[in-house]
Amino acid sequence: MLGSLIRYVRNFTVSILFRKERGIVLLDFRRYLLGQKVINIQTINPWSDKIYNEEERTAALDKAIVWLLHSQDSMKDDGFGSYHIIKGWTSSYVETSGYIVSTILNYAKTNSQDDIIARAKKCGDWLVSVQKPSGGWQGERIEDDRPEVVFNTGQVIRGLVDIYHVTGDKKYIDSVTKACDWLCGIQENGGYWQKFAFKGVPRVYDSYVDAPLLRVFEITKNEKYKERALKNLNWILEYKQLENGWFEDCDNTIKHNDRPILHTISYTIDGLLECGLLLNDKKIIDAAIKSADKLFELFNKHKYLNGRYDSTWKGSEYPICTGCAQIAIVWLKLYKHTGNIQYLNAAMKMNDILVFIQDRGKEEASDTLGAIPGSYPIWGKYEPFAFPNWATKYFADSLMLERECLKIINPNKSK
Amino acid sequence: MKVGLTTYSLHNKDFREQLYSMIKNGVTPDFIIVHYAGLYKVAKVVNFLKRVFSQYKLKSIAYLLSYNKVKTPLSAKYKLNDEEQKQVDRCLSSIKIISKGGINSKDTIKTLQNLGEAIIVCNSGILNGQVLSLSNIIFLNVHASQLPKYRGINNVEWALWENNEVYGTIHKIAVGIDEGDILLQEKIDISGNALKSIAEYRAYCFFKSNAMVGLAIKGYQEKKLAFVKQDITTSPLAQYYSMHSILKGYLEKRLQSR
Repeated sequence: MLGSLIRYVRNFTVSILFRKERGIVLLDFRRYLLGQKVINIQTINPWSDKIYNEEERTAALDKAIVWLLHSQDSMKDDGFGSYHIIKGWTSSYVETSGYIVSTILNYAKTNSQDDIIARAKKCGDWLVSVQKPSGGWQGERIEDDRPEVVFNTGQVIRGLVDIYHVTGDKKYIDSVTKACDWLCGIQENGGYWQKFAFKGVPRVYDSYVDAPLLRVFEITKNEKYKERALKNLNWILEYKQLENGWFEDCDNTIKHNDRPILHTISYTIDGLLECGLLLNDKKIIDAAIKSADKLFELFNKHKYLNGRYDSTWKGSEYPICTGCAQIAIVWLKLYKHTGNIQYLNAAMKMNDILVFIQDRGKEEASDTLGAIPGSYPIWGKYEPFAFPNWATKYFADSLMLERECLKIINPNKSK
Repeated sequence: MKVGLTTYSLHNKDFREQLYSMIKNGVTPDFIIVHYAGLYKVAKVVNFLKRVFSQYKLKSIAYLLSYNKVKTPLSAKYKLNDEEQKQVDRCLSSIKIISKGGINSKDTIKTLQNLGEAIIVCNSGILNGQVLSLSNIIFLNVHASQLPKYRGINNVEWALWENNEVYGTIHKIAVGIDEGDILLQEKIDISGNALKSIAEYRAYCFFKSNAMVGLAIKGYQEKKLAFVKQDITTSPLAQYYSMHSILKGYLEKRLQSR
C-alpha cells in the first residue's frame, strides 16, 4: 500500500515536472478526473458525445500502426517494445511481438505496404532466433531472460503462422510445430497447463493458446494439437465458467484472482470464440456469447467497462484500454457470426472511446503519438504511466475488424 | 376512472398531439400535471445558452447546463394544423392544470395518491419504482415501434434498419424498459407519404402513435381493449440502444434511395 503510494507520487511528480509527456497526464486530469469524478459521471461523461467518422477512424488506425512501427524501430532487435513515461522504452516483448506481427500483416493486406511485410518477416526471424531449445518462448521482455511460458508461446505461434501464410517459408512452420509439440507435452492430464504457466497456476485465458494450436492443426493435420486444444476447452467449459458467464482462475495474478482484469477476461472469451468458430462447435461459441453478452449489457448500461470484474460482475478500477479493445473485437466477431447489428453498434461505440483516448489533440513526440495507454486515465492501476504495445495492437485490430464489418453493410466503401 | 396527462410544457408537441387524439375520440381529460411550469422559461434560456456554448466549443459549460432536460416544442412536417391546435387550446382552458415538481417527487406522489383511480399518459421522463407501485394509477407510454420486438432507444431507426414495418404502441409503463403490458398496437401505414429521411420517419411515426392515445383510452374505458402481457426475453440483445451515427448515416442513404 505504502510502496504503491510512493510509486504513484514519484510517477506523478517526475512526469509532470521532468517529462515531455506532462501534457498527456495533465490532459487526463482535465478530461477524466475533473470531468467524471469531481462533478458527476451521469452529467458529465467525457466521451459520451465523442463520435468519430470513418475518415477519423482511418486516421486513428494509421496513427496506431505508425506508433507500432516506431516501437519496432526503437528496439535493439526486431521485436516490439512498450513506452513508459518515466522509464522510457522497454526492450522487446517476445509474446506481444508475436501477435503484433499478425496486426501489421493484416494492415499491410489492406494498405499494400511491402515495407510492413518485410518488417513482419524480420520480427518473425527474430522470434525464431530466440525460441528456447524446448520449443517454447520466454515470458516478459527479452532482457529479462525468463523461462518459457505457455501463454506467451501461444501468442508467438499466432504471428509465425500468419507469416508462414504470407511467405510460405517452411522454417516458420517448423518453429511452430516444435512449439506445439512442447505445449502438448507439458499439458496436465486434466487439460490445463500448470507447468510453465505464468506464476505456475492454471488459467482459463489459455483458451487463447488453444486457438493457435487449432490453426497449426489446420496446417499440419496433426490430430494431437486438436485433441489438446479440445481438452483445455472442455476443462474451461466444464469447471471454470459460472452460470452468469464469469470465469474462475482468470486473472494473471494470484492476489486478485477473485476479480480478474478485463484484459484476461477478453482473452478467455476471444479464445473460446475463435476455437468455437474454427471447430464449428456451438457449445463453445455459446459459452463465449454468454460472457460477451454480459459485458455487452454492462457496457450499454454504464457506457464504459471497468478494469476488473468480480464473480457477480461488479466492476472496479479504471478502464483498461486493451481489454476494451479486445472485447470490441469479440463483439465484432459476433456481429460477423450472428449478423446481430447490436454487437457492431456496441463495438463502434467502444472504438469511439478508444479513439477519444488516443486523440489527445496535442503535439506529441513519436514515442507516444498514436499510442493507447494501459489505463484510462493514464495513472490507472493497469500499466500506469505506460503505453503497452498490446493496447495499441488490439486497438488497431479492432478498427480494422470494424472496417471489415462496415464493408459488409456498405460494400461500395473503398477503404 | 379519471384521465390525465403529464408534460413539462403545455407547448410540448407530443403532449398536444395526444391531447388532440383524446378530444377527437371523445375522451375528456380531467387533469394535466405540468412539471416545473415556472422553470420552463428559465430552462428554455438554459437550453439556448447550452446550444451557444456547444457552438463555441465551450463543452464543459454546456455540460453543466445540460442537466435541465426540457422538451422544447419541435417543428415538424407532421403536426397538428391550426384548427386542431385551437381545439387543444380551448380544451386546455377548461381542464384542471396541476403544477408540480418532477414526476418522482414526494409532492407529485402525494397528489397522485389522492387522485383516486386514474389513467395517465406520461411525457415526463423515467418513473421510479415508488411511483409505479401506486396501485390506483395506470401510467401509459407511447412507443413508436413494435413491442416487444423493438424495445429501447432509436426504435424507429432499428425497425427501418431491419427493413421491418413501423408500428405505434400504447403500453403500460413498467419497471423494465418498454416492458409493460400492451393496450393497443397498430401498424403505421406509410404509403402515400414520401418519407426520405430518419427525421421524417420519426416525426411521422410519433405523430401517428400519438394519434392512437385517444382510441386506446376510449377502448379501455368501454372495455373493448384490455392490457396484454408482452413476451419478454431477458437477453440484453433483445433491447435496442442508441444507433451509432455512422450506422445512421448508412440508414439515411438507404432511405434516400428508396
